[in-house]
Amino acid sequence: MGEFFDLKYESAVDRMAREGVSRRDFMKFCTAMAAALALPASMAPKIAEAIETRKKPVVVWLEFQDCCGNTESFLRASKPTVAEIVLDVLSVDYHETIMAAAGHQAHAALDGVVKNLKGQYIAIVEGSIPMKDGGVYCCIGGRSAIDIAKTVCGNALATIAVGNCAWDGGLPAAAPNPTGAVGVGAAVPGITLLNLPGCPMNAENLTAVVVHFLTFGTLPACDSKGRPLFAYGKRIHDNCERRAHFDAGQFVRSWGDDGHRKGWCLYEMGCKGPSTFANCPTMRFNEKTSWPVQAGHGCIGCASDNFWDTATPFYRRLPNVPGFGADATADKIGVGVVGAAAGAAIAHGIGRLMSGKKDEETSTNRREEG
Amino acid sequence: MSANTMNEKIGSQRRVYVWEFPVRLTHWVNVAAITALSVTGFMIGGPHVHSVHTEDFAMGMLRFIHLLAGYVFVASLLVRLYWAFAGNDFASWRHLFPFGRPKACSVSENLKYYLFMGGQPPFAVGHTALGGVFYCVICVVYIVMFTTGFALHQQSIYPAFAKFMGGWMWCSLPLQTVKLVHHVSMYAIIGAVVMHIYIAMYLDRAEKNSLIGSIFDGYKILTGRERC
Repeated sequence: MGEFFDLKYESAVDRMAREGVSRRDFMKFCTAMAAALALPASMAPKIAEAIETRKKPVVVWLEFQDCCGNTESFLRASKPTVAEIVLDVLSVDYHETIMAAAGHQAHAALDGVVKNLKGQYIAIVEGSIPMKDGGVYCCIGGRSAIDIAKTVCGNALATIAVGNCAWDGGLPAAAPNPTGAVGVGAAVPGITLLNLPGCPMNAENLTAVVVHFLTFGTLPACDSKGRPLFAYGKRIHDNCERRAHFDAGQFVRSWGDDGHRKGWCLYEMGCKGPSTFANCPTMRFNEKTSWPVQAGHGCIGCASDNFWDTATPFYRRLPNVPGFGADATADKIGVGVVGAAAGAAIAHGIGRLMSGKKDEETSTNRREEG
Repeated sequence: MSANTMNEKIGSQRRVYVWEFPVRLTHWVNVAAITALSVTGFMIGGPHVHSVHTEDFAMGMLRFIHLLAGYVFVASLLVRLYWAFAGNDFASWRHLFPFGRPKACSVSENLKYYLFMGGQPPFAVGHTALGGVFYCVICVVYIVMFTTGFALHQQSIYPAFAKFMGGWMWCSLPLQTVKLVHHVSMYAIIGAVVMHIYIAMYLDRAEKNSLIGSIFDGYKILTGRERC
């Protein structure tokens, strides 16, 4: 695996020394990563060793139909942190948003990686891939997204799809999906793929995946939808800091009400935590500063598949009933169904009183005669 | 009719033992379970509960009752399923399908009668043909109900068991859609209960055969006009 590692850059240890990250902070980070990956604490030294000694896997970062949100998430940092340095361990040889090269130079960099490091680099994909009309709706340098993805992801050691768009098509794939957008898994079947859904994905999870890869040389265990179990194996609702208020029956009933100010459960405001699997409550965002529910907004289920179609309306408990207007909730329709049944019964009873009385009398008489 | 062998003569009236104990038991367990499930389910779905103290366990208790009633309901359905094969002719699964009935007591004859288009009351000893079809539809709704219930339950605990109990049927659908189906099915069942009670009372009055009483003691009165 000699050529797998790029030797041009300084090592993580040197970089940490230069940035002023203490050994203590580094070991704290390694322990936190072990916890995030559900590994025993005894793995922390092995993680530290791996980060110190393993060299940079080469990474190319492809952007297709996206908003750059995952790049923003990846680049988030107010000060140099250990996590940032670990991500810097990645040698990002191609990234449209942040690379210095442009035009032919940039394409040459990508082509060089695919050609020279075939089967040895990691492809990170952000954004969905349009399949309609030959993929004309997203072209970079004259090549369609699907063409680029097939070449780059098809020759990669592994592909990491970051964000919902790269996972299942995300926003561009929401109904009516005019560009025929799909995720990487559907566009390039059969590749080694790991999905990090979320809108955007949590960069901490990407860090943990990289740490896992550096430590064990493999990608972490995934569920049937290709999501790592350490990050998407548990339901938000079950780890939510507001869960006690749910069990107690204390709910926010309108934005800014007394319950909202007291931090009660957002279930009634349409929180999708009960049907979403992600580690947001424990991992949090932006250096563990906060996460949506902590900030007082319900979960919108952004780590669920096709959440723009299935988790909407965001501020209602249940989806709209297909075929009915937007205001026709399941409850209104349900009351209509029960009302119709009761109405039919009442109408029938009245009908019987009005017209059926005679029949009954005749039949009774007939029986008495018989 | 084989049931005639079980006829009893009491006074001038002949009575027939139609609904055996397991049929009546599961009927009333279903009544209790559906009532508990609907009330708690409605309150969970709203949620129509607003506690004052964090020490309260209102929602937790509602969910506990809902889950418990759900298990009781499924157990009751399983017993009834067994009895559809082990019980008497009136309890048989064959009544769910309107085939092999005499024309005089077919679904269309039943419908004609209910819609004031002529015809006679069904005078069925067991289920009417239309009633059988009605229960067939209800069975499908029950299956949808408890499999979606287990599909939602499998998110939290006992995923293997909940999957085995029908949760697998909904694995490919988004959980929000499963919730919607689970929610709307409740209204379908309540609507069906309204129809069921009304028609039972209506036929009891029209046929004068102790139809309502039969679900308590199992006996129907033979009027001598039974057609099926």
